[in-house]
Amino acid sequence: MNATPAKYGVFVAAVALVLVLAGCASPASREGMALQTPAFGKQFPYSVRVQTSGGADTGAVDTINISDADLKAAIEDAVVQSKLFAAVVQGKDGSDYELNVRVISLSKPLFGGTLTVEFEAAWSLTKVEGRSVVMRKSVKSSGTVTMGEAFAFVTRARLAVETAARENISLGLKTISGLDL
Amino acid sequence: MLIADKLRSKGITVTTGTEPPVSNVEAVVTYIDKWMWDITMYMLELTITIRDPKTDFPIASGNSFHTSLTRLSPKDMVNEVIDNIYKGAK
Repeated sequence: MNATPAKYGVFVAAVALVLVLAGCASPASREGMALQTPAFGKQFPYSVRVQTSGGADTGAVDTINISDADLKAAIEDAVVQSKLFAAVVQGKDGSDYELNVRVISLSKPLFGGTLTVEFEAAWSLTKVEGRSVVMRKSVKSSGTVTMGEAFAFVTRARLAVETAARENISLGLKTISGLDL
Repeated sequence: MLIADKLRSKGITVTTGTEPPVSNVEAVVTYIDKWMWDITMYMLELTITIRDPKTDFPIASGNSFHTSLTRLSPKDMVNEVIDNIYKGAK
């Protein structure tokens, strides 16, 4: 079985194409999950501390994940920009409310053209004084990205995850804005 | 059935089905399983969530992710996730 140079060339080109299209996974970024000019129509005169859990880092050969740190930063950015709370507090002490967001599931397709990501997060808001839970809600969102928006699979997957995360953050904070704190 | 059997082994009364749960249940358990093929089909990822039946709020959840080289049987995946949820609850 003799392989001609032409066949080698086709094989190498095919491998190169696969590598270009697949690439290495990069995580959903804080910037990608950030809401553009968020506004929820309410401004609470309280401070809030944001905590996130259940996320995961993204390795080079993993599927796209959302890290706790990036999700926390994206939520904090949205809170600050929308002025939903008067201040975002870092550290354990000194906040009026604690917002906990736990990643429950992030369903990511492993292949496909148009990618749809389903994302569920458990949002809970606790009043620090008295430790009373004022909101507990399962927030479900999705993000869809077509091949026209991004040709490389990893880019499409990351954009879909970021879209689902943005919608989740928007829905979660919108729910909080409907509360009477 | 694997999840139901595992919970029964921990002394919990379990019913299964796709209909809305009856009103007197204390928790609803849902799961998402993802399968892949590598010579044979195997379970890549399993997420089990225990929910408040009234609000659908996730009270606890656990996840197991094993690629082909470290693949586990579905029963072992269920055991791993449920055991981790119980460990986290302590």
